[in-house]
Amino acid sequence: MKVSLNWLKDYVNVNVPAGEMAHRLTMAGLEAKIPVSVAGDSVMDVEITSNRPDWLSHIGVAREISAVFGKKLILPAAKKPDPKIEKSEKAFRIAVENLRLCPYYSAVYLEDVKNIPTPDFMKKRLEALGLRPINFLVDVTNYVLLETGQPLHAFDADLIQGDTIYVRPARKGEKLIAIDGKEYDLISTDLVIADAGGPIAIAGVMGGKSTEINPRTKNVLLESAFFDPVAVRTASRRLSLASDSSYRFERKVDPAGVDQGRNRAVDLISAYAGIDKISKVFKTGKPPVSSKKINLKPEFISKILGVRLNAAEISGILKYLGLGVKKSKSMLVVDIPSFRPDLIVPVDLVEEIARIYGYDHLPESLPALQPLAKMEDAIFPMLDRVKHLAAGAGYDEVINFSLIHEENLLKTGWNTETLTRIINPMHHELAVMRPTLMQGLVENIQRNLNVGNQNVSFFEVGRVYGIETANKLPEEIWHLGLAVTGNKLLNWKDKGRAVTLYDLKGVIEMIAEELSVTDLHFVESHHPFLADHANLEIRVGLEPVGILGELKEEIRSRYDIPQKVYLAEVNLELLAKRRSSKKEYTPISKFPAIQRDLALLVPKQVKAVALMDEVRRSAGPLMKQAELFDVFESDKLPSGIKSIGITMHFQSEEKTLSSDEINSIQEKVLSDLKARFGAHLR
Amino acid sequence: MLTIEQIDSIDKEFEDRLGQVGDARSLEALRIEFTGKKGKLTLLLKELGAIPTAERIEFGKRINDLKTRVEGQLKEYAEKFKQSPAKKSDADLTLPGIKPAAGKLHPITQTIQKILSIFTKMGFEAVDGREIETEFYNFTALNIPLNHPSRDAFDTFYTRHGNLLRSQTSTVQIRMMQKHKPPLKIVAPGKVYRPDTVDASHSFMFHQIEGLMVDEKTTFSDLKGTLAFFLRELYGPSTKVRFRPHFFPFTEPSVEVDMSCFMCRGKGCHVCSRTGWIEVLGAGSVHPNVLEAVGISSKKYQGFAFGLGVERMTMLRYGIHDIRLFFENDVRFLHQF
Repeated sequence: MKVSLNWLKDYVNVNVPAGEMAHRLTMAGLEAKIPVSVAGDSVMDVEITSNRPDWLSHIGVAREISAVFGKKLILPAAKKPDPKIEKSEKAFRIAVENLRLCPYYSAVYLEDVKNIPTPDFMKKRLEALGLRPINFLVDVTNYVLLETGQPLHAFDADLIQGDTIYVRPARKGEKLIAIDGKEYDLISTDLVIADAGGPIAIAGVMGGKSTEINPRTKNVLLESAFFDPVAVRTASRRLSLASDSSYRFERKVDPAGVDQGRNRAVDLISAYAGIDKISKVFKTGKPPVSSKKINLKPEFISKILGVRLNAAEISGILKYLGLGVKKSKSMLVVDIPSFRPDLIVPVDLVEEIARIYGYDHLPESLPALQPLAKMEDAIFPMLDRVKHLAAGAGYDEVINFSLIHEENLLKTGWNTETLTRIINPMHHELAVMRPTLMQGLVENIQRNLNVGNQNVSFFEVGRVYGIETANKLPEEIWHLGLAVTGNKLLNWKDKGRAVTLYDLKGVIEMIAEELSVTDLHFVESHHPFLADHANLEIRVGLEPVGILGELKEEIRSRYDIPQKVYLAEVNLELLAKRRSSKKEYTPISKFPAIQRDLALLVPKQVKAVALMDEVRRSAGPLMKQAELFDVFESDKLPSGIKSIGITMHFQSEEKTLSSDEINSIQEKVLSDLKARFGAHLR
Repeated sequence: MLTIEQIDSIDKEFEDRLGQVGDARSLEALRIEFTGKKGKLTLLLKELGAIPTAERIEFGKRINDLKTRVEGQLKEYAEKFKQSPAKKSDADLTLPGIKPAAGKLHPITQTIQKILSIFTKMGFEAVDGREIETEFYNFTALNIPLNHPSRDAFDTFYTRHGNLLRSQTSTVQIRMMQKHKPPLKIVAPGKVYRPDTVDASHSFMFHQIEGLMVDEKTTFSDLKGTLAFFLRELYGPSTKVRFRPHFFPFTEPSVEVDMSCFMCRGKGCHVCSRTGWIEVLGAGSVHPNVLEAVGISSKKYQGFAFGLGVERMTMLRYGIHDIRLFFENDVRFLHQF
């Protein structure tokens, strides 16, 4: 809201440079920009927070200046109309249908108002604030609104049909052409001012064109009312129509200011244009002024702020803010004026005192450390650990939107019907809460490949969201997603090769191991995102915890991704439950370890895991470890046969093993492998 | 018995053998063989005692001369071997190192970790909470009434069943206060959602960190001290901190916290729009209505709450001009942090 510094001087006289004025106000809570020179005046833009409707006027801002600078506030006299002016016999009846929607409505009939050009001082002030002067009567209503914060409306009284003013909800089918020239369709939640012919104004928002003040206007009906904030807000939002009036009604106008605003306007009209006759005031209801007192103990202030202020200082601040202060025993009884609906509880007064005193004058202290209630184990340490492990394995972390495009999921056969759905999404596509991380990761791959980043490996630690029902909030579960594509080991020494499924498998195995999750294994599966030939479910024991595989080609081509992509996704919360609690040290042997390599020829269909399990079972406890170090297929080998290289590590805790002992174990292993798989030494 | 011929023979043997010495090792072996404890020359000297006195002087002189000559030559050769240049390697040591694969944590994660570590240092505990929430946790309990203009600042996404996506992580604090009675000292990081038009400085999804401290005596001055400490830890001890009154429905007194611009140290630059100050936090004393809404007596307990936007802090820190970059996840962006 813009304010004129010259105009403010009518109410409070503070001689400081404009920049300092803005700074002091800002530091007291009324954010003000550096004033800008406009035609001999300075105009300052202030940001009014929604809890301070009293600032929406020059008098309100002047009161704030008075409190900040400790200077007296001079209010314009609230004069009743000059009794010397003749009384008009004209009578209007006010019919308010629902006092809750309009607790107080008042209007006065001004007969034969001279049509004069708007006085210079008024024009200048309106123009400085960016308002276009229209005609004297409209300008007066705008001027009084900006001065006092009370919105007024002037009707051309001769264009009103009948002699009753109705304040009622609109009826279905009613329309109004407003003074902005647009036609509005009204419904029953729109509060309107109406005459015998129908709506003539949208209450508190905008007047109608049919009764607009025009060059031929002679007789005026001047309205000043208190409309229910919610009623005005509802209509304003629904019609997407806002005005200086609606803005103030929404935030609650000062109930005691309704009559004052009307009197001020009549005074100005009478003084400059001259009015022949004035009617009595037509009114219904009464201004919803509720007298309010708050009891404030000085100890309470120091309890909240952490510093003691003296009583005189406290009273002084409150008085300059326009609050009444009386001492009663050890307490202050503070009278809350009607223009401060935001002051309800004692802390509200503490804030007033603190901000005028100056937040920067309050001390800084550090609270003492104290023992706190034990919280349940947060999942963050594990999530951070997983992130570090994945990054350490060479994967870059991504963060994707939680809302996704449903269409792509649908195409993979995913049932999206029960997923959590947003009814007012930002973009129509991003309307569903993601049930998987994979879509985001695939999009990341696509995007990066498109800009020429060929070899990428990503991970995301983020939530996936479950189904929403009428009775239950959806589940939200932390997942780890991984995606990799392209080549690895690209340097001048190593040969470099394409990334494979096994690289991703290894990362999963490594993370599980680091998290002390044992019994992790992979089982063939049919996940819709993954290709048939590389489609695995990750399990811990019997429990599925995730998936691993190659992105299905048909999905890949839909995204125009020209190379293979490997994906994995793991439910971290399930994994967390399967962590072994304690690590225990196993003594290492003092005796030397011996290594033996076996090069085996086995039928192609023999699975590595089966072979290795049998080697371990057969060799017994003296074989500490067995690794598969080579897999080799070639035309040179007999058909249907592949070569597998295994290294066995033997060691005893009790003695050095002899060659004979090891040989006999090796013989046994070979014999068992032959019997079981038909495997031979190469 | 010792003879001159023997001495001469050892002399000649030494010369021959010396000629064959190719490196320091064989030189050392030669030295031990001739002048070591059981060396040939050493033994000769021992036999001197058996020679008749008259000839002893001459024998002694010959042997000692030989000894001096042998030691001198051994020394000379030792020097030569030391000085001879090491065999030159022809590997090109300027070839680049083979870096182990290392991925990067997302800059948002890095900022969150950094900020949380400061609050953890002060005794705050990091807590997590759900993102899909109810009207109660996102508005009612936070003293934000329905149908009030203060709601406009907190526009939200609604779901089919009347739930919503949280617009601030204070929802986590409300849930925590329901579960745990004071004293409480928590920070809650996480995603929040607001239907703002997406542009270079706004995203409909972003991250916040909110904090809460409630007990019987935490004051507004504790709020000032805690936040000033935090900002100085994050941006350096010479950072100035400024507290400005503001309005939030869930705190009273409410405050916006500015810090002196880290770029120009308060002189004014493009980062701080030439004001010298950057607004970084919203905060305040917890409103009694908020405490009462979760069944905590506002007569007995008091405290403060604060919140900051992670993307905004990260963008300020690194000079990133477009918030959308965080969610595009281009590796050329991710690798810069």
